[in-house]
Amino acid sequence: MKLFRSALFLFTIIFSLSVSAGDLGSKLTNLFTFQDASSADEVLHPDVAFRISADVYSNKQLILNWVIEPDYYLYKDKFSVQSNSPVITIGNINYPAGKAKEDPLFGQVEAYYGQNNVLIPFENTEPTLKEFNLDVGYQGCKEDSICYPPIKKTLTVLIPESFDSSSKISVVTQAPLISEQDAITQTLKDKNLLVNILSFFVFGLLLALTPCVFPMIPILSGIIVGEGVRITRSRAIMLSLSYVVAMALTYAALGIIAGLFSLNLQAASQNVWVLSLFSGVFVLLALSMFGFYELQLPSSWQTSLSASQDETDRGTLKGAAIMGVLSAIIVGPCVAPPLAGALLYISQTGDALLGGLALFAMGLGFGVPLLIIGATSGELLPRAGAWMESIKQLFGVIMLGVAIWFLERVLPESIVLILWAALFITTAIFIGALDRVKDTTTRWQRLWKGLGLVMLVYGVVLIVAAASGGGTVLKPFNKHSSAISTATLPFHYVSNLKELDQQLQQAKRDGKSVMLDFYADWCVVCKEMETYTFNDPTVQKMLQQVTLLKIDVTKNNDDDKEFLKHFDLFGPPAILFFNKDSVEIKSHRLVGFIKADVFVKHVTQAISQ
Amino acid sequence: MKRWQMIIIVSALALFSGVGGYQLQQYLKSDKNSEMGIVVQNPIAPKSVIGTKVEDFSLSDVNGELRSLSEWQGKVIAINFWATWCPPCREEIPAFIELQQQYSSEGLQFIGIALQQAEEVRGFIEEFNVNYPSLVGGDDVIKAANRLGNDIGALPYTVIIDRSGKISFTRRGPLSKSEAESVIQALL
Repeated sequence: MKLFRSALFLFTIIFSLSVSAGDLGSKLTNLFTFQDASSADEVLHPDVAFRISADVYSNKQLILNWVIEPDYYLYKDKFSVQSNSPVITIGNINYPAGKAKEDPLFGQVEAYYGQNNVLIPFENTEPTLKEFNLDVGYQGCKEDSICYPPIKKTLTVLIPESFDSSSKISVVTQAPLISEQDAITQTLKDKNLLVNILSFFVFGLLLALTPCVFPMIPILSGIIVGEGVRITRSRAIMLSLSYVVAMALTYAALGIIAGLFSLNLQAASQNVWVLSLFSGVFVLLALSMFGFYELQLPSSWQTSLSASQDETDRGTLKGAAIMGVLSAIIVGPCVAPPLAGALLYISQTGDALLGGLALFAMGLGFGVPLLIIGATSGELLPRAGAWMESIKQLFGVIMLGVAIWFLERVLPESIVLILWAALFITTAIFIGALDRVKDTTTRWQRLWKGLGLVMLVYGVVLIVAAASGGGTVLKPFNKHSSAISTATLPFHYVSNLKELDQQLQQAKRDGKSVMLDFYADWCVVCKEMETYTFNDPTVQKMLQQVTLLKIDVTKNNDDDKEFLKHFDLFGPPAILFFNKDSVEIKSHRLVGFIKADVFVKHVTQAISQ
Repeated sequence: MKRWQMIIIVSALALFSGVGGYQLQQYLKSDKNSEMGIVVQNPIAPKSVIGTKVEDFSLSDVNGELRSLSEWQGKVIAINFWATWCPPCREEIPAFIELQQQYSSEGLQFIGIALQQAEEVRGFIEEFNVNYPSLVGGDDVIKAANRLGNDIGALPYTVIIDRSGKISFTRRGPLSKSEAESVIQALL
């Protein structure tokens, strides 16, 4: 019953926390980002608020596309399209349904928000015609603010020579250079099975030297420490092994799946649900580290288990194995570019067996340092002792940190900072930051108090940083909200292949190179690119001559999947370059984080191709 | 049995925190979308014409008669650019009618300038009992708006001119009764 009660207590806390967080979040963000009440004066130029383009879709159809900024809208019934060429006749236009708006004067009117397009039938009596002009009229407003006078625009529409070949996105098949992703694929493809598996193992070892392995250390240590006082070295090794093998098996499963289907693994592993779930699990684990409850088998089981040592092993090994599986998914995104290469390779071979074996080997390689850590920490741990509780609590704090780290991708910065601050301050108080120093206070206690005070002050600094609008836990005053960073490069968003095609055609006509950025809200590398690389003045200057396109695959809908499939990508991050003829320069694909100076060189090389 | 309870409770907890997190994410999404909106451009502020003297101009009223601004010289003039198809414009007009009623004896003159043809606005003027002159037009209205500092011709746009003919206030976008009143009171 005690267990049940404490769990119920936790349930209430976590549930109310995670649900009320939504409300709290909006309140906090409203608090911190004072919206200027008299922002009515801040209106966009109509050409920015409404972007309209027209293209030939087939020899009988035009496509008119419009992109409307958030909060702005266009009236459906104010749209007009007229040809100002005598040889072009425009047919009846079937406008898409808009959002119904109740107007006290005109009754119900339909308004367009966001992005849309309409197919317009046309007749051309002059087959050799290369281009013609289209007069487009439209009218709209900013919600509860201003309305624009009726707008007239003349759009020049080019008629492509052939509709079959030129309207498709062309991709060079022969690449003179090999991109990062391709290089991995290439190396792996040329080898036989054994060499393959070995190279995957070494590959995993190399991966283990990246910081990607860090989140796993507290997890594994937590498992071993959480096991209790009677842990032996061999048991610690067994636990680590179980953890590592389970992790490797997870990668193997990914390999097999990649061999069978093409899936966006990253999207799955950075899914909000998955992240929130993991975060919750870590909070629970942490709380057990603090002794709120014991994550252990019931005493009746324990007695029966102590009779047969085997069963004890099995039970706990299973726990370690489950964490191993979860961890594999957790660090997946961190190792995205190499993993993408490996999985791309496997999906190209279509060999599920090879995929499974190779990725299993990679997982084992990745787990070697974890095995070492598991073995040594098992040795370091004493049979019993009061200070073991402190270690457990330390791991509890680290686990809470990991929980917050997960949420960093889901929650706004200011809230993440406050969570960090709460963690720092609470920890500080627990280690005695506010305890009074007496004569009897030992040196150790004084040292802890000192450290505690530092943490306390840092926690307060984080709250101040959160209140002033953001930053990260390591650079609290380094603001880089997504609004600021996206504002720096004028990306044009495309949402399906057709639009991309139009944009590429446009760039081709303008003689411009194209940079195509695959983005998703959950893609950490994408955000890093935005914050660190795209914000760099030299990068911005260099990209002035380049058409910048962006595809947001956060939703991972059918159009998004089609995009990824079309370009043989597993998911963001990915940056593709197209030359002035709108042909992709496959050799210069980027699938990971790249610093500004390297990026500049890379792009210069790409667009000079 | 307790083990099963534990498992059920832990999964329920995890599920609920997941649901909570997801809802939060969905909730924040709307905000985020506007933040991440395609390209966040610098807002364009109307060019400042405050303190400059208004040039006279003429537009026809709803009855087709040509009216000049000089007709109201010496009064505090509040010019409101509007149109019936502009919902925020329609919302603020009743307040202007009240102000005109209240302060006409002290020398306030509201003038409505509609970016529309006379027949399109006549019904509205009658229905709302607009108690001040309404001028109408197309391109010439946009030109007048431009000269009065509204470079993109966005509506509503309100200009308040003091007795000496100098522009002392402009507002692109809705203008509240209290704000208009305080500006007008200071000039009367």
